[in-house]
Amino acid sequence: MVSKKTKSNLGYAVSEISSKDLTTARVTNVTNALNAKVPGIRISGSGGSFTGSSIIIRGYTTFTGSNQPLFVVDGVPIDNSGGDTPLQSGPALSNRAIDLNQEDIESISVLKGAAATALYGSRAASGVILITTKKGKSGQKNSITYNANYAFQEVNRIPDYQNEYAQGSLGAFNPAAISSWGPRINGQQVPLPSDYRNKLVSPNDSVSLAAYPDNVKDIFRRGSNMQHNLSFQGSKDASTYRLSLGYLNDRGVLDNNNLQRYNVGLNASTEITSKLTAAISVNYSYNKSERTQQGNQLSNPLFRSWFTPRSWNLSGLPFENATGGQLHYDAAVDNPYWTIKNNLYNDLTTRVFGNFSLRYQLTNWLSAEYRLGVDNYAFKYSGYDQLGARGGANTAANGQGGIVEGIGLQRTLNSYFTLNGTKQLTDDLALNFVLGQETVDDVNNFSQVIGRGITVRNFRNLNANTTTFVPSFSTSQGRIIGVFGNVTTSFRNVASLDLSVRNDWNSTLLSGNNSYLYYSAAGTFNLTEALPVLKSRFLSLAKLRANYGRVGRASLRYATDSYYVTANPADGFGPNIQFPYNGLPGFTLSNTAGNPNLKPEFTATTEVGLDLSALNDRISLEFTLYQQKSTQIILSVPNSPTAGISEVVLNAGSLKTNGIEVGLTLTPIKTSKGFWSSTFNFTQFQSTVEELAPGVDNIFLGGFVTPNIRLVEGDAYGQAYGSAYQRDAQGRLLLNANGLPLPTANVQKIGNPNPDWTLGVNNNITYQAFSLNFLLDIRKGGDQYSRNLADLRRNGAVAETAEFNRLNEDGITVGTPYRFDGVFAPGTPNAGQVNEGAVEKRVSAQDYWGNSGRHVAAEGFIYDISWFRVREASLTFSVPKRMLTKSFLGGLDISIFGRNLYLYAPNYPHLDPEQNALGINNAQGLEFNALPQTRSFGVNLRATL
Amino acid sequence: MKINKFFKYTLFVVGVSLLASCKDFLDINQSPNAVVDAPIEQLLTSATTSVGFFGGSDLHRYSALLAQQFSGQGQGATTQNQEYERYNIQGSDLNNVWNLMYATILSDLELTIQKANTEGSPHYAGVAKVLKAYMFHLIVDAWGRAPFTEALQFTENVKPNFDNGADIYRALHNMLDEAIVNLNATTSVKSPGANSTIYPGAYAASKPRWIKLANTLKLRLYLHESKSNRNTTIQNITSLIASGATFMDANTDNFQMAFINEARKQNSIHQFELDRVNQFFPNATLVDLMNSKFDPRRPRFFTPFPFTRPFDAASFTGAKGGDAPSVKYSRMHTYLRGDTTNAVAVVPQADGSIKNTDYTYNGTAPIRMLTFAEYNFIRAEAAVYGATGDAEAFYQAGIRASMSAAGVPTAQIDAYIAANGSLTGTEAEKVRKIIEEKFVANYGVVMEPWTDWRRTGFPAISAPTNALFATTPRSLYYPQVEIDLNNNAPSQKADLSERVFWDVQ
Repeated sequence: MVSKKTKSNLGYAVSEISSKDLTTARVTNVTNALNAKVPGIRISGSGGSFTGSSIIIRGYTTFTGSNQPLFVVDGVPIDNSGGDTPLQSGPALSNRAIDLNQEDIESISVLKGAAATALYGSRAASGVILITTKKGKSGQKNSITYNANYAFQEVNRIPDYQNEYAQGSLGAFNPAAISSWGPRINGQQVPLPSDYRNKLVSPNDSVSLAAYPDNVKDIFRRGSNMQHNLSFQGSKDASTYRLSLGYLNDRGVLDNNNLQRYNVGLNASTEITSKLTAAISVNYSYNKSERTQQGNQLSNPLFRSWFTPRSWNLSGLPFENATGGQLHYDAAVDNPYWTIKNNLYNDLTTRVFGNFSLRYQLTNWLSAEYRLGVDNYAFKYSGYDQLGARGGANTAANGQGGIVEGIGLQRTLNSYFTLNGTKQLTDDLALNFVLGQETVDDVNNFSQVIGRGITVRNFRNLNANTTTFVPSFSTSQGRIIGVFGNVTTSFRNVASLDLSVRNDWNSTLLSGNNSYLYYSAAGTFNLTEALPVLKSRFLSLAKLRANYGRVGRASLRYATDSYYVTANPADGFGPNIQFPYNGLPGFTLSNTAGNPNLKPEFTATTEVGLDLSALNDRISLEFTLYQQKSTQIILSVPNSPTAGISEVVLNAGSLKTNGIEVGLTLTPIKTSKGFWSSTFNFTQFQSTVEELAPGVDNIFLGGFVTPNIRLVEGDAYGQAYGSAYQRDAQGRLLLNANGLPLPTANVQKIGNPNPDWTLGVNNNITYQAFSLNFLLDIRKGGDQYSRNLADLRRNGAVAETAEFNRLNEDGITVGTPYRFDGVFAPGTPNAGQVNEGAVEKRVSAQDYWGNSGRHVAAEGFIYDISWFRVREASLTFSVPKRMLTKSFLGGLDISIFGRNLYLYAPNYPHLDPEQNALGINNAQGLEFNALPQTRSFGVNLRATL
Repeated sequence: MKINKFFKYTLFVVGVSLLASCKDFLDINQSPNAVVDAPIEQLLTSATTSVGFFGGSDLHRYSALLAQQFSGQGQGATTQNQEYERYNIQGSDLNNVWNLMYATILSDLELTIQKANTEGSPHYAGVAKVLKAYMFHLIVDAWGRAPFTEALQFTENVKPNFDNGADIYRALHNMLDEAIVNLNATTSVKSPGANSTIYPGAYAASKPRWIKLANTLKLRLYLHESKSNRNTTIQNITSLIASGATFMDANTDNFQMAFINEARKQNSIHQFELDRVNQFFPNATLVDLMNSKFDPRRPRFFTPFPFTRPFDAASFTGAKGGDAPSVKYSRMHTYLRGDTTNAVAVVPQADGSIKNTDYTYNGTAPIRMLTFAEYNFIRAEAAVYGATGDAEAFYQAGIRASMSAAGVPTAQIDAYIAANGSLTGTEAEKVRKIIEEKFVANYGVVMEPWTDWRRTGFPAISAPTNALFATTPRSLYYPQVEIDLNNNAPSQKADLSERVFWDVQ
């Protein structure tokens, strides 16, 4: 849509990632390949190898709407929705950027801030990920490239378990207990849990107590990631082409977590006449996956598995009986092996996106272009919940079995007409301009039926094999018409000025409010060009950048009216009534009231920057300082439900972000035989909720009653709230009569999930035919509420819970090796006294680590996830050309690579902290039994013919 | 060159057509997935179903845990029900129920009334007013003060002021009187029929039941004031009876909603059992009371513990807050969860317990909200205080009604009445007997057992050993959402000992 500009004249920061940097250590979801490579952006994976990954560019720009950037491929936006993970049912899903084949990407530019994005319209208010695909180049010889890639993947971290104490509580064995607070494992005879009694062992129902150190590790498998890519490219006469085929097979670390993707890409262009150029770009993907259940539900295979009792022979005992019913020691949850095998989910997305363009050179300085872009995909998903499932799984069928079938169609049309002019006005003064018009039409269709009440086990047909049906269908459509203009003038290489203006008409607002104008101005001043005396061998470039820009954004669809919706009374614990009930439809007034007076919200950015190059470009620095402010943010403002509604959509509140980003490239060695360069990408920003709506001081973003993630007026975006420990005025813990801490009655702030800063260091060392790349990813600060860590500890499963002898000398009674530092609470016998000396109350390991001790309050679940990790590394050997001259090969590269090769997280034990219960949701900082982050090692072969 | 001309022409057409008729092109923001106006019939269906669901939902659990009809248990992490039972019910725990009551049920009822008035369908208005009065009296009984006169004005007023409980009660009597007038209206464009999930069916048959409910609800409200205003209670009840008002006179008049055997259409108490296994067990206070009288309802109310057959000869064990969590208790049974389909197959564990999954229930048992049995106990208690009526006759009728609703054979009912049916002793002893029977009869009824305990002190309950504070709560905290979002709300209660208006000391 907007022709790419030369970087030297840009008044705003743009970061570009090349194809080479994207494919150092290939991933399934291209979003993850951006991690740590760009200053000013934050990527947050949510666990597993192909779940959703969030991209936040320069902080948050809106409250509850999407903060994800707009993906633009070859000038046309594509959809990147999805990737939210449901909290209580279903699997973790992927954001749709996963349909992109990394191998087809030539480069990715990240546009940050309103000045860079204003021309891209309302959808670009959170930034733009600008992707350019590989194309054949004019004059290029025909060639064929084949790339093969294979990697193993495994769970990055398995907890360090204790294997000394058995299943049970208070030192006593209990075959049904979920905890490992039982007796010392000593080969003694203990009864089997009831599911296994009279079935396995004869004549008695007892087994000899033993530890199973790998009973958790064995749940996982060694996964793999295989990618094959073949491309043909070249040119003939006035035409160019690139045709590519891609295949990817990702086998996750848990059975039944697999993803296969097939990509076909075509880029072709031809000069029909000397003035008229036509081009087409078509990308097809076929993406199918199987996934296991996720979230805070009993069918998640990891719901209680991380802390499997140490003496439980999970993998050695059967998980199902002869009829397929499940067996488990724990009658409340699904056996992990059983749920992996029986509660199924798979999906399929077929997608075509691309564009067709015609470009006509009207005069030697003016051209016109028409471009029609389409992004069209259909998805289908299917879930099967086995009879006897204990968790909600896909359909919440309460053990009666269920099947869900869903289909969706998503279609976005983008039409652009642009006039592009380039004129050298004088020798010194150049002018570029763009005038354009954009029309967007976006339609989503969605159909789903849930059938419950399975009759025949494993017969996966909804209409034949379920007895009650809940259908749901929806359609939504939105349109935008935009008109834009941009003028760039430059005076030699000394200074440039870039002005943009755009007006949008958006269907989601009513006439009168639906037209909004926004604009930007960006300038550069090159000190070294203006004052050549500054130029020296030491300093080759010093450039100042400054800009201001503003982008408008309209509301979600259908927020201008109040509606009656299908009734669905529910309590907070799962029970609900689904309509139609007994053949009767029911309508209820939506609890969210619409607002016909909604206006657009605006995000404005002010940015200043400095670019320096020194020592023959051995050092180059890009430093940017910015402030971003969003105002009249559209928000469902909660109100007292006693009004009969519980929220009203309003323009309310403001959000401000201050940030610094630094990109520093050092090239300490540069010789004819090799070089070493390191790029440092430093990101620091803080988004502060300046104002919510009048009378509203916090807004729930996601999570539970406790803990949850909130927007709180005056505080940074997305704080973690939950119960805390009671403390006295001096901050000391208040203890009850038994020396245990007390929880606060109300929730309070317990953590800030936002990191203080992140730093990526991308290193490239090349010596002759060898090239070593490694990417360090450093994150400082940021809290996470970790349910897994809490569970591992409070159930006595991990090593530190057995640090001290749990039992007294008799080997039977429970010892009290721990003490909480604090003072006894008012109302206790030793009120006000410090817990030491004569009044000291010591507690057992179970009390210390358990629900009455450290985990009595949500505060005890909070961990700082600061990390240092080797995110990517690869060693490539490029077979020297001279060795290939006699072969048919034009090039041959062989590399070994790995991801997540090393992790140091000093405050986060046992697990890899890179997880998020809610996927790419705005609410970050909660971890609830998510799929674990993986580590991979592989080899890559690249051959060019 | 031809191609160039063609291109120029195309350009022009495309440009013009895209810019034309902008307004229609953009006028697409009305949702195809919802309606801006809903028919009164489906509004009422939503309201009655939500009321029935609500009767076995959050507020039922809170009140039943406080009144010790149920006990919170759990395995692994401490469950919310264990916390609630030890009186740790926070304002934030009450957000959902507050939202369900006001923003779902009462808003639908209010809109039904408004629509009925515009459309000339007083029968709809009558039904909605009875239900509205029912919902509001529960709000007063649970919280004391609440928005009433300024409530339900939608976007017009999102920060309603609070009214005093006594004022709301007075207004509710007027609302019920109006409801009866509306229900009796000779003409009504539309009348509720099969679309009402409470008293479903032809209006001719449901009308007398709605009127009986309205009058019986008035009796309940009058009786609630027995502690604060005994004489008025007696006078009001006597004069209501004298007025010729009709009251419930059979179990078929019970204010309840039946559910159906489909996932997510089963009754809410049963659904909770499926969703939150091993968390909610019959309380020892209730079970022991019934054990002491060899109550024949037990095999319908509970499964035995230790599990033996026949149920009639088995023993039953209730759970207690503060004890180490366990599943070695009786579980709730068919009376609350509906019939079982696999009664014969159940084999207990070695310790005598059964698993939550051993029985399969159909989940169709009704959620009961005000029963004929309760009507009799109201009359019995009122008669003890001096209102019209034979206290003992009503007392026995109440027991009979409850037992026959539970499916107890007549011979067993007769034997039970013979052993326990006399109402003698001091006034306090009579009231104790009545309320203890009412406590049993109201097994699974939202709020009323807790209200009765607050009014009369019966049945005698003592705080769980692990209780947060020594005295049983006398009202609930204002929901956190109200404190956070309504600056016209009173400040949060200091603790749960604050009493509602009829609960004088």
